[in-house]
Amino acid sequence: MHKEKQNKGIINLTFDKKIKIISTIFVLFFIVLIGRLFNVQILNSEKFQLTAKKQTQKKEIIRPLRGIIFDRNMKPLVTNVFDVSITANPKRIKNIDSTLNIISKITEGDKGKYISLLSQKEDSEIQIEKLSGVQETRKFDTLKLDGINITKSPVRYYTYGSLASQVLGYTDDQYKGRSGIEYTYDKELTGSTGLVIMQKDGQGNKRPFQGLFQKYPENGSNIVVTIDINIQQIIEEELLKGVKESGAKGGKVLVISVRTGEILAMSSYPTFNPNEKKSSDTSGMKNRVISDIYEPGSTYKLITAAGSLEDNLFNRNSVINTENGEYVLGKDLVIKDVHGLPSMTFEEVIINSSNVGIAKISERLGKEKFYKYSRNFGLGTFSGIEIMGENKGLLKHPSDFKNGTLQFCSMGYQIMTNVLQISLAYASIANNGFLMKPLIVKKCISPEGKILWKNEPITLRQTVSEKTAKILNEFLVGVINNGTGTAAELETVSAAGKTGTTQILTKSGYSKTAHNGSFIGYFPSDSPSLLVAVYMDELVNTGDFYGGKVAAPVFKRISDRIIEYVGQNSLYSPEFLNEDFNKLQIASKDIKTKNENEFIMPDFTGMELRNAITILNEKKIKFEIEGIKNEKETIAKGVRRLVVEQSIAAGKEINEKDATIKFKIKDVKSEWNNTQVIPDVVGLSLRQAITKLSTRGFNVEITGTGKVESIEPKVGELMPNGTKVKIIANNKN
Amino acid sequence: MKREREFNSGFDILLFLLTLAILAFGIVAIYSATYGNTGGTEYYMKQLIFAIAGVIMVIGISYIPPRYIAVTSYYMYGFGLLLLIAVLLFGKTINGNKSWFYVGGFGIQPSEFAKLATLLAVSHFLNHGDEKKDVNDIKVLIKTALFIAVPAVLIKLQHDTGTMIVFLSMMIPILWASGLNTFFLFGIITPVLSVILGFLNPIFFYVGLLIVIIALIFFKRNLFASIAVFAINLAAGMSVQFLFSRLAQYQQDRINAVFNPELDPLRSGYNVIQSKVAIGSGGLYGKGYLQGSQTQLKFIPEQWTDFIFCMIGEEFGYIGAMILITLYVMLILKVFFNGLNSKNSYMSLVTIGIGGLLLFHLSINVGMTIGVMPVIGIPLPMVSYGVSSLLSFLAMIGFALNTYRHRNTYV
Repeated sequence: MHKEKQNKGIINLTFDKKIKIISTIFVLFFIVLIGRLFNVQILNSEKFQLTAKKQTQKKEIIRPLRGIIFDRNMKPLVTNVFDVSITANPKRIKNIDSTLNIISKITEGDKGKYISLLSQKEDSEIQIEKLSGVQETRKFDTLKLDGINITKSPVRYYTYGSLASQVLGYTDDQYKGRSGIEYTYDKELTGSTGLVIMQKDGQGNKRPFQGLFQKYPENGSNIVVTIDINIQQIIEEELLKGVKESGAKGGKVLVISVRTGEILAMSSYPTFNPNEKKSSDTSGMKNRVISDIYEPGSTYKLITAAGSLEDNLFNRNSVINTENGEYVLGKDLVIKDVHGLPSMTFEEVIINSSNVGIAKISERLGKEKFYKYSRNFGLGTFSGIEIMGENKGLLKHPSDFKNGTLQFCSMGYQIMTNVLQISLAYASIANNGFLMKPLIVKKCISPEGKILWKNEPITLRQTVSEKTAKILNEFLVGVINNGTGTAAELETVSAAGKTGTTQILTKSGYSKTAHNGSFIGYFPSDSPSLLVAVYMDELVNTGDFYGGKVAAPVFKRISDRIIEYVGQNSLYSPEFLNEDFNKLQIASKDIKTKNENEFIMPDFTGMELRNAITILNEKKIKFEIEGIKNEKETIAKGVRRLVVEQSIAAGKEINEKDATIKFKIKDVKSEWNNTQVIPDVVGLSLRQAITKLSTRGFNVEITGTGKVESIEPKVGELMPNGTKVKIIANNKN
Repeated sequence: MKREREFNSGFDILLFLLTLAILAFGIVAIYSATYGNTGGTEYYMKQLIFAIAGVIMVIGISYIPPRYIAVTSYYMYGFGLLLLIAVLLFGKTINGNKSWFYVGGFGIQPSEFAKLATLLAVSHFLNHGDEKKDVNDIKVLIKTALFIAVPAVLIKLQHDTGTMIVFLSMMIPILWASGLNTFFLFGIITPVLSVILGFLNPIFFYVGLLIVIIALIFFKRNLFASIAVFAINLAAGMSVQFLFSRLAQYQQDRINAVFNPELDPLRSGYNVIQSKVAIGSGGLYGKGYLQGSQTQLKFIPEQWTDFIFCMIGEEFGYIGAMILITLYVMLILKVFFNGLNSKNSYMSLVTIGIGGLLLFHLSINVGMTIGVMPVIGIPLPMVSYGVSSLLSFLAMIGFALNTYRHRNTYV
C-alpha cells in the first residue's frame, strides 16, 4: 500500500516532469559554469592578462662588454673573459645522458662528475659546472638544452698580470672602474646597458622575445694608452732587480717621450696583480709615481740653475765661492758638500752636485724668481695627467720663506714633488724648453673601430729658452761623463742626467741612515727622445744610498734595454715606437711632421689577427691572410688566431696606397694564453736578440758570440712563455 | 516484422554531428597545446586516427541489439575487474597513478573500460529478471552499491581518485533513473554538501541547514526520518572543522589547496592558478589560434590531457568556450532525451547513466580549470588527449545512438 504511493523513479514520471528535472539541472549547471567563466574571462580578464604578461615576459638588462684597453702598439692589456656557470634541473632534462654528453664535450669536463652532482641533491637547480676565465663563449650561447641554464658574467682580465697594473687600475664586482685608467675613463669603457624582453616558458627556460627587443647594449669604447707594454716589462723587471740589489723598500720608474709628453711606462714597487685583487694588501695598488711626494733633493738643483742662466745672472763659467764645502747660514743652519772645494764654476756646481754652490746661486736668483721658475717648470701644481690620484706636491710661497728656506729649496729640500712633475721639468729641458702636458691615453676607439677622440701632444709653455736648455743639457751630459752619474753611461748612445740623494725627513729631523736615491736622465743627449726617471725609496742602512750608485745603474740598464728594443736609429726619428705621430702638432720646431700617407709597419707577429686587422683597416692598408678568404674566418671558435709572419717587415716605411701586407697565421688554443711568436732575431747582435726575446717572455741560452746565426725553435713558431730559446751565434770560438 | 524494423530504424544524426564537432574541437585544441613539443605532432595525429576508428566503432555499436548488450554486460564487468587487478600488478605508474598499461607505445587505462562495463552491468542488474528490482529495497541498494564499490576501490588503489569519484557519482543518475525515492536520494546527497559547506564557511553551512529544514518540511515525511536526515546533516557539518584540525598539517594543506589554490601556488595550486590565468587572459575573443602565450609556453603541465579547456579559453576566448559548452550541452541533453524517450528500459537506464557521466565530467573538468571545482584529474569528454578515454566516451555515444535506434524496442 505504502509502496504504491511512492513513485517508481524517473521511468514512471511523465515526460514533462522528466524534462523539467533535467532542465533544472542544466540551468543550475549553466548559471554556475558560465557565470564563473564570464567572471574569469570578461570581468577579470585584464588582471589575468597582466599576470600572463608578467609570467611570460621578463625584462632583462644586458650588460655591455667593457671596452678593451690597448697599449700603444694595439696589444690588448685589459680584456674581458667570462665566468660561466652551468646549472641543471634534473627533472626537466629530457635525456640526462645525451644532455650531459653535450655539456661535457663543450666544457671538456668530466661527465661522471656531473652525474654524481646531479644524483647528490634533490634541488631543482644544481650547479654542475663553474668555469672561470672563459674567453670564447659562443659555444655556450648557442647551447639550448631543456633543464640546463647557462649564465655567463664578464670579468676583467689583465693580459699581462701585474704589468702596468697601477696605470690600468682595476674594477670592482660591479664591473666599475676603481682606479687608474679603469676609473678615469670609466664612462668611455662602460658603454650603455641594453634591455631585452625575455620570453619565459613554464619550465623556466628563457629566450629572447624577438619582436620585443627594446634596446641593444652598446659595448664600451676601447682605450689606447700611451704605454708600451714591452717597455713597461723592461722597467718593471729592472726596477725589481734594482730594489733587490740596493735593499730599498720601494722604487719608482717613469719613461716619458720627451717630445710628446707621452708616458711610455710607469711603475712603482711594490706592485699588484689585478687578476688577483682579492688579496687584502693594497700597498701595491697605488701609483706612487704620481701619488707619493717627497723632497726631490739634488735633482732640483737643475731648476735653480735653469732660472739663474735664463735670467743671465751667471754663465756656465761663472766662478762661485763654495766655502770649502761648509756654508753657515745661521745657528744650526749649515749647508755642507760631500767633497768641499773653495770654489767651482757654475757648470761644476751642477756636475758635482755642490750644495753650497747651488745655495749661493739661489741667493743671487732670489726667492721671487726661484718661485716663478719652479712654478714655470710645473712644480707644486698638478701636472694634468688624466689619471686620478695625483698629489700636487708642495712649493712654499716666497712670503713664507724664512732664513735658509731659499737655500734649502734650491737643493731640493723643503719642497715636495712627485716623480712625474720633476721628470716633466727635466723633459722640458730635453725638449728645448717646451713643457709638454703628460699624456697617458692616446685615443678612444668605438667598438666598431672608429676613432672617437685622440689626445694630441700639448705644449703647456716654454720653461727656458732653447739656448738655456742646450747649456743645461750639456751640464747633464757632464754629470754622466765626469760627475756624480758616471754609472748611468749608456752602451750605444750618449745620455744626460742628474743624480739625487736626499736624507729622509723623520719626526726627529733628517735621518742620517735613511735616504732616497734617484736619477733622472734622458737620451740621446744630442736629440733627446726618451726620459727615464728612477727613484729608490727608503734606503735604510744600506751600503750605497747615493743616487749615482743605486739609481744610475738601473737607469742605465733600463735605457740600454729600451734602446735595444726600439732600435738605436729609431731614437732619432719621431716614430721610434712603430707609431704614427704624423698628425702631431707640436710647438717644438725640431719635430718634423710626417707625410700623412706614410706609415711605419708595426710588428704584427704575435698579435691576434682581429686586432691586426683593426689597425690595418684604420690605416686603410690592404691585406691578405693565408688560408682565409672572407672576413668571418678571421675569428675562429675556441682558438686565438695569431699572426706568425708578415710579408712587410716591422719598422719599414710604407705608402698605404700600394701596400698589401700578407699574413701567415696560426691557431692557438684559447687556454694557452701566454703564447708568443718567436721573433726574427737572426742577424741581430746578441744583446739585441736577448732583449727582443726576453721582452716576449722567452728565456735565452747562448752559444758563441757576435751576431745571431740561427735559433731554436724557429722564427715564427708559437711558444708559451718561459720557453728556452737556443741562440747560436756566428762566432763560435 | 517489416513495420518493426521501420519503427526501430533511425540514425540520430544530430547527436552524431555534435559528436563530430566536439571531436574536431579536440583535435584542433590538442594540436595547439602540443605545438612545439618535441614529438608533439604525434599527439594530434594519434587522437585523429583513434577518433576516426572510434567513429566507426560508434556506428557499429549503434546497431547492436540491446539484449546482446545486456547479456554480455556481466562478462564485460568481470573482464573489467580483471583488468583493474592486472593493472595494479603489472601497470605502469604515471604521475603517481598506477593505472596504465603500455602496449606498443599506447597507454591503456583499464578504468575507462571498467567505467563503461560497470554502467552496463549495473543497469542490467537493476533491470534484470522478470520483475524490475526495486532500488528502494535496501538489499537491492546495497548490491547495486557493491557493483560500483568493487571497481571503485580497485581504482582508488591505483591512486586515481578522480576516476573513483566518477564511479561513485555514476550511482546517482542510475539510482534516480531506476526509481530510487527522492527523499532517500536527498538523504544521501545533502550530508556530502553539508561537509563541504561546513568546511568552507560556518555561515554557508547554517544557510544550507536552513534549506535542508525547509526541504524536509516540503517532503512531508514521517518525523523520525526527517529528524534523522537533519541530524546527519548537522553532525556532518559540525564535525568537519573538528576532524579537519585533527589531520596532519600536510593533509590539511592538501585539502585547503583543493578549495583555495592560491595557498599553494607552486605545487597543488599551480595548475589551477595557471589555468585561470590562461583562460582569463583569453578575454572575450581569445588570443588567436596558436597565439596563446600560456598555452604555447607550456605553463600548464600536460595541458593536452585534463587541462585542454585552458587552450580553448585562452586562444578562442569566451566565445570559443561558450561554443564548446553549448555543443556539450546540446549533446548531453540529446543523450538524456534519447534515454528518456526510450521504451527499452535497459537502454534507457544505460543512456541516462551516460548522460549523467558526461555532465559530471564536463562540469568537473571545466569547473576545475576556472577554479570552482577541486582539481581531480578527469578528462574533458572527447576533447582531452587520451586514447582510452576517447574510445570510452565514443562508445558511450554509440550506446546513446543505439538507444535512439532501438527506442521502440521493448526488450
